[in-house]
Order: sequence, then C-alpha cells, then structure tokens
Amino acid sequence: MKLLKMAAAGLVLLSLPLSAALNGHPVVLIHGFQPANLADQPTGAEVSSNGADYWAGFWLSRADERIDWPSQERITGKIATDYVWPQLQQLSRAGTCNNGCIFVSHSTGDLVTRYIIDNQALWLKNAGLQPLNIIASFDFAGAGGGVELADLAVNVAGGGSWTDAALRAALSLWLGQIPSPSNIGVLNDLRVNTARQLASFPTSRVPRLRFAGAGSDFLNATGPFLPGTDDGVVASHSTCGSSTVGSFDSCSANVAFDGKLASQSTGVKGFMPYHYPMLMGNSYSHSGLIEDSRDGEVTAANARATYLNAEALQFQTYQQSRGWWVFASNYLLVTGSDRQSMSSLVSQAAD
Amino acid sequence: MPKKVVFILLLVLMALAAFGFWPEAETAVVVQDTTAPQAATAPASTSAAQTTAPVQMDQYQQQELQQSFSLLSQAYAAELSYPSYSRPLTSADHQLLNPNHFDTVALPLEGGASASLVLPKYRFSYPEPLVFKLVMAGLSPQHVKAELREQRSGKVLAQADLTAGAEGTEWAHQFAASENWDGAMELVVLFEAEGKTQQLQTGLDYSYPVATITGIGSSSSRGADLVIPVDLEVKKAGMYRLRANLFTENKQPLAVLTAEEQLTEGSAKLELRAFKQVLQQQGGPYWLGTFVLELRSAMPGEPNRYGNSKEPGFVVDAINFGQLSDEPFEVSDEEKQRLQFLQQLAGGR
Repeated sequence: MKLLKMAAAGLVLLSLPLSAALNGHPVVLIHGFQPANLADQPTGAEVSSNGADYWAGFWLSRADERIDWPSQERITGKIATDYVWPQLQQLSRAGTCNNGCIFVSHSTGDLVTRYIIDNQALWLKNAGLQPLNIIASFDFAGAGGGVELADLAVNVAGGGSWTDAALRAALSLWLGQIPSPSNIGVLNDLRVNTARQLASFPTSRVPRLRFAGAGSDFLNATGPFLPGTDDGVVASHSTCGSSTVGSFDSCSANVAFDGKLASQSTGVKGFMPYHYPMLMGNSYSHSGLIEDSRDGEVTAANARATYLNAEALQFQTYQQSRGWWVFASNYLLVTGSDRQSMSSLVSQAAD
Repeated sequence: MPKKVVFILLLVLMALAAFGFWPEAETAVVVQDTTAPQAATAPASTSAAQTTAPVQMDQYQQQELQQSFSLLSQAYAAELSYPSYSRPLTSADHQLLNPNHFDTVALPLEGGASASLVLPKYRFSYPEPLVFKLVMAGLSPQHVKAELREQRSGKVLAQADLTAGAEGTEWAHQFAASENWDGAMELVVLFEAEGKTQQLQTGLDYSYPVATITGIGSSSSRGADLVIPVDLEVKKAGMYRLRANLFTENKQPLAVLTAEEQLTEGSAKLELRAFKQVLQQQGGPYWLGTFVLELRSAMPGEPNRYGNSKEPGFVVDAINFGQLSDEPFEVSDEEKQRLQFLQQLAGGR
C-alpha cells in the first residue's frame, strides 16, 4: 500500500509543470496538521508522499516546491531541523526565491510559515547562504493563532475520568483517535498560548493574506469547543489572524461570513502585524478551503477597513439584495464564487 | 381564491423572505471607489463611495478580487510609510501591548463542570516565582497536586500539594524558582473528585535571563529619528532582538520599537529609534516599557532564549521635536517588491 502511495506521489511529482509560478513568483506549499501521523509516525519518503496527497485536490499542480513535515514532531525540534531546514537550504541554493516566492499554507502550515519567516534569513545567513525573498503568503484556515481543540486534546491525552464525553467524541472525530501523552507531537505547538508565542512578531514585513471558512467537516460536533465561529477545527480568531483570542463571528467588522452587509459587533477588529483578511466562505470547511470543490458563495472580508494610519478604506464591490420587504438585506458576494472553489478564485486572481 | 388561502400564502412568503430563501434580486448595486491606489510610501486615504447604474455580474468577476487586493496594497503601503524599526502603536494593538499575555482554555468536564489553569503570563524570568491557580466550576476536588516538568525531558522540576482558597473554587500556588530552570515547561495539575482523577496541563516558558536591561541613556535626535540608547548586561553572546513600546508621559501608546544586533558578553548597548511620524508632534518626555529581549535562534533546533529588565520601564528624556528632520527613510528592495506584487494583483500590472 505504501509503495502504491509513493508511486502515485511520484507520478504526481513527474506531472508537475517545471514552473507553476503565480504572477511570475514560484509557489511553495506548507501543509497542515495530519492526525493520522500521530499513529503512523511517518518519516522520510512517507512524509513527502503524505505532503503530495495533502495538496492533491487543487494546489499540488500549481506549486513549484513543498515543505513537508510529520505531525508527530515539534516545530522547533525535528520539524525545523530534519524537514524545514533541508528544504530552506535547497530553495536558497537553487535560487527559487531570488525573484520573490509565495508561500501557500494551510492550517498549522500557517504557524510553520510564521516560524520560517521569522528565522530563515538568520539561519541561512549563518550557514553562508542567501536568505529567501518571501514576497507574500496565502494562508488558508490558518492556525497561527492556536487551536483550542489542541489544548483540549493534550489534556484528554494526559488522562482522566472526568473528561466530558461529548468532548472525547469530538476529538475522536477530528483526530480519528484519542492520542497518548507520548504521541501528541505538533498538538503541543498548536495550543493557543504556545502557538501565539511562537515567532509572534517577525521582523520581516511579509504580507499574510487570510482565507477563512465557517463550515464543518464534523457536523458541527467540534463547534461547541471552539470560541465564536469556526471551520470545524480552527476558530475565527486564528483563521482571520486576530491579534486577540476571542469569540469572533467574522473576519470583518462590516461583513458577515455569509456576505451580509451589516455591522459585526463580534467581528475581528485588530489583526496580528501584516495579517490581512481577504475572503470568507460561510460553507467552506477547514479542509474544503484547499480543495477544488465549490462550497457556496464567497465574500470579501475587507470591503471596508481601518488600517494603520486610522483612515477608513472602501472598495468597489458587488452587492446583492436578498429577502423581501423589511426582511431584505444586502449581501457582498464575489461574483463567480457560485461556480468556482475559493482556492480557484484565489489562484486566478493572483495569476 | 379564498381570503384565508391568500393570507396563508402571504405568511409563507414572508417566512421564506425572513429566512433568506427569497429569490435573489436580479440587479446589483455597485459601490465605486474613486480613489486610485496610493504611492508606495504614502499613507492610504479615505475613499468616497457612490452608486451607479446596475450592471451585469460577470463584468465584475475579476475586478472585485482586484479591488480587494487594491485595498490590501493600500493598507500595506500604509505600513511601509513607517520604517520597520518604528511602527505606530494604538490602544487597540492588544498583542503588541501585551506580548506576554496568557489565555485560559477551560477543560469541559462531566455534568457541565469545568477546570482551568490560570497564569498571569506565559513567559517567566528567573528569579520570579511561577505563579498559577487551578479554577474549578461545578466540581469540588478533594485532592489537588501540581508538578512543573521540563518539556523536552519530562523531568519533574517541582511539585506541591495545593490548598483550596476560601471559596473552594480556586487552588492558587507558586513555585519558588531555580537557577536551573530554562526553556519550555509543562505545568501539570492532577485532582481527585468523587473517587475519580483528572489531569490538566498547560505549556509555559521559564527563562534564565541571557541578558538584562540595566537602564537607558540620554535620548537624542538623529535625522528623522528620536534615538534611545538601551544599556544591557549580556551573559550570552549572539544575535539579539529588542522590542519595546514607547508611550507618552501619560502612558498613551505611540510606537513599538525594534532593534536587532549581534552582541558580545559584558556591557553592551542597543539603540532604539522612533521615527518622527510616530511621535504625534510630541517632544516628550516619554515612557519606554513592555520589553521583549530575545537571543535569537542561530540555527534550526536552537530555541530562542530571553532576557529581562531590571525595571518595568524607564522615562525617556524630552527632545526638541523641531530638531527632527523630515528626511524619508529607505524602504528595502524586498518590501518594494512585495508592495509591487500586491499592486499587480490589484490590477495595476
């Protein structure tokens, strides 16, 4: 079975175009947490094969390079030394990012990307290599602000007879199992406080573009354990790039996840440095954001915003009236989002 | 048609409309931004909105996303109108004002009960004690004990039996520090209630300081910058990054300042600089605080280490604001390229 998977991944790699750059800039993929790794403990070629499978839905054929890593390890430990570092050296030696490259991340890949943005220049320079010119990152369902489910999973793994049964069921749905203390791996890093303290404010001003969903792959079973609106795994405070942890129901103060134009009292108002919410999809789940399947319409998260210099900005957009009479509301929708997946929209817009 | 049927039909239609099932309107309203994208280093300006005639949807498919990128490029241009070493700071910048904040995540227990570990901050520094408390809701454990473990080795560094507070809902404790504590730690609490046990844990960082801020020197003006020399006693050489927040004398936030430099062991200086535009026409005196002093990871696998400050903050001398020049700072080539990329996405290619 493993041989078949590796062969399939090999074929996929062979079918990759020589350059799949967006707007002339090579694309580097960094995947997210893979629950099965906690039990499987993959290494070497298996990690690479899993990485190819992870992105097969849409981005694999549109990328030039990937940084693959196993989820049973820690970010500052073996993920950095054995998986990220060899790839960073290769990218530098090959000059892949000389003209600027784009990192596309999903879920925990957001946190790994932030760690890379903060450290790569110094590490490569110390090794006598040219630092990478990372021009921007596109972060889908970003978990850089931490995942409450990871906090809860680590606690449940620690053991106890008082744990809420619904929580155990939700964690089993997400992870496929309840992990043991010896194989928590990257879940340690994903805990809200640990994640938010890891490379919290890189010096390099790389714009981080955020794409967030509010659907669920788990019939909303995980929702009760996540604050505010979530995508089934990660809460909005993290996917939107909020500077604070909280119960947020939108990445915007003016637009709801479903595109309804109305003041959002529980919308994110402050963001981590250089984090910009771009698109939101009410029906896109955590995993659905990087697939090529359309999951309902998409709205622009930054139709109006107040930025660093305290000035308000507003852009041209398409509004749609829904409902009737006094029940009518205006919706801000990205035209074409009823026909294309969010990843496809982003890829086309950026190319 | 009987009036009753018409009335019921009307009610159904109203219900449909209320739940958003009413067919979508055929026309669209377009809000136009009449402002052109801003120059690379100029702050973005407010846009005027106006309504035009309805248009076909497809005409705007790509344009809408481009407009979204346009807004982003303007926001990024606004960021680049300040040097990276001196970013404006407002009271809304929670993360930058509270870089050591700890968020509590409660563990749901059977019967609607919950347990939380509450810490005053994430990162502690020797010789301060590690202060924490267990907070219970809906359950009263009989026995509670706590352990501090080193994350990497799992070695137990400290342990104690905890005593309930007067209300019986909180178990507060503090572990006296040891010089040997340094790095990522795990605080583990075990409690027993009604014959059943439960474990609760959280991560934290305890640092033996690699350098200490001992004071600041006299501030001065240099070009467009207010320069604040920071004195340090360095125990471990390496690449250091110092972040500090600059406030008005009344503690109103002005800017987050960053300095990064290779330092050797012994007495050292780092220069923090505040760009004229972040000072809001104020010549001081100012207050400098919220220090985060990092010895940066020099290679993969080597963790960041942290320093501390003898004082939580220092008064920065007033300067003659008029002496600060209006000379622009140099945006790096990489930053120009990032902005150019965003502007290209916005349709300016």
